[in-house]
Amino acid sequence: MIRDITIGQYYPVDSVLHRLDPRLKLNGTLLFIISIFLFDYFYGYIAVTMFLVSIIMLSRVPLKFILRGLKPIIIILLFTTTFNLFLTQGDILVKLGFLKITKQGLHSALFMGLRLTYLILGSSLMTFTTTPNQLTDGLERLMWPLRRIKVPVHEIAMMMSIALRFIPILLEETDKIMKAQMARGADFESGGILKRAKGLVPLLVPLFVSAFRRANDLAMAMEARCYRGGEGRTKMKPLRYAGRDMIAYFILLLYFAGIIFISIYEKYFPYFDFI
Amino acid sequence: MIFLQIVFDHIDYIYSSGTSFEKHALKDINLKIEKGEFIGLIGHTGSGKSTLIQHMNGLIKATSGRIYYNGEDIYEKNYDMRSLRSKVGLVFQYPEHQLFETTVYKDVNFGPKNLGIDKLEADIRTYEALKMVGIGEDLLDASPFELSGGQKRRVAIAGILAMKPEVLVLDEPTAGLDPRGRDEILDQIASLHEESGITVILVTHSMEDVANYVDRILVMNRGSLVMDHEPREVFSRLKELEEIHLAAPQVTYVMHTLREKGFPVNTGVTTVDEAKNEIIKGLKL
Repeated sequence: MIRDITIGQYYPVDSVLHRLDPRLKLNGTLLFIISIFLFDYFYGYIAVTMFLVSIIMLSRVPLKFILRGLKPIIIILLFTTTFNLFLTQGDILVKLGFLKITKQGLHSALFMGLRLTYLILGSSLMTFTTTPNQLTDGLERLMWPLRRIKVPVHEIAMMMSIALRFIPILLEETDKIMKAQMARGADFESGGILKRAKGLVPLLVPLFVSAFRRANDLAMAMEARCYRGGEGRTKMKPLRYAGRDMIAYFILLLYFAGIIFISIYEKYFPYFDFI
Repeated sequence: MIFLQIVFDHIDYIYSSGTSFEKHALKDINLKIEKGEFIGLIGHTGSGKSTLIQHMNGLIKATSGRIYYNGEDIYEKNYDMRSLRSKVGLVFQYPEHQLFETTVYKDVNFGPKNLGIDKLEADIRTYEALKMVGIGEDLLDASPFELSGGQKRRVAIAGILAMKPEVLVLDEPTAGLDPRGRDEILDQIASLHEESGITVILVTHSMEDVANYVDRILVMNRGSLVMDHEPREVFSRLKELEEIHLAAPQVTYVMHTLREKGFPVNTGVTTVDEAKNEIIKGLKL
């Protein structure tokens, strides 16, 4: 059950995408997210879809696994699309009693749904192909200039990598404690909201106790190895851009320029203005 | 008459199937456990011991195969899984990590209360269980988080015992305890087995533990059940055990060395007491 949550998980296969520099992937994800909010018409949608599909194919992560990442946001997705569909004012297309679907509503519901889906798919693709360590390394390097204005960049990166490292540990721990309490007859599934919330106490108390214990142990272990923050600290594997990263940057820029071109073009010549 | 309590019929378990995390954790396990047996389950880390025992009370559902408890198929649609969990008491590794209540008494009372029996009966069981594991009256109202490591573990075991299970499964109950705490817990389990005739399954890394207490040993390797014999037989197959990263008790090695040096002893010995007798016998010759 807990294993079903795939958001933020790393998927270990060897692909071009896996080998790229994490800084590139972070920048690329940012660019991609911006790009999905640029288009407002049909052509832009095609270009973005084509780009996303080719990236998914390049990543060699099974489609089934990627789509499973959408499961947790399905409710949000349904909410936004339904509200957009029925509550937008404009030219009425269909009328069902007091509910009415407008042309503008259909348009915004469709695009809002697409944007949310692509947002999740795009960003989860980054975590599927990048280990948490690479990710924080990349972030640390990208945020390095912020040290000038006294942002504790190294500390933030370290906290992030520890937090990420603890996610699977705590998930496993939750699973274990849940089973242990189920073996003692605890019931996490039935009953009303109040009973269920109360039923969580036997799970949450041991979980917090163990989280604090682990944090304490880790702090002790770090101090025992003379950790004292980022000052003068070097890396075993410093990040270096390779040729393929340059090519990837080039492709990204090309894509972004293309999207901008399409979105400007569509604004003036909206051929496919039917939705 | 033999009474089959737990039967595993061609059990396979695969998790995360269809992804690159896929793992075949159990492969074609066939197993018959009789009422009142004292069984040791050994195997290297990751050999599937913990997965196997979690099948016994239905916490994990097998990918294929059938499990029968007292002759009833537990994967049958109408089977009462919750009552199975109270009949097969499972003590997890480091069970003290599951303590959560404000007092020792309340924590042990959690299990029986969940059974839906009346309050008086639940209270009696709680007191009995605490007595069985040797927790005194002075600790009843203490917070479980204030106790020592060994005490915490005994409270956690009492939490399972209070449900009056018919089968008691313990996953490494002695891990991380000092020698004295270890002996205390194992002795209490052994005397419980003797007095109440409860079936006990002991998962462990320590060959000494199994040699001293159990009458039957199951050996797991990479998800398969590779041996199922009495201790003497299992430990006589030293070579096979070492191939799967296991070993015999230390005394067995001592006896083997003595034999090699020409001292006339039986190498099939598994406990210190037996070894003592063998050596005395050898000296008298």
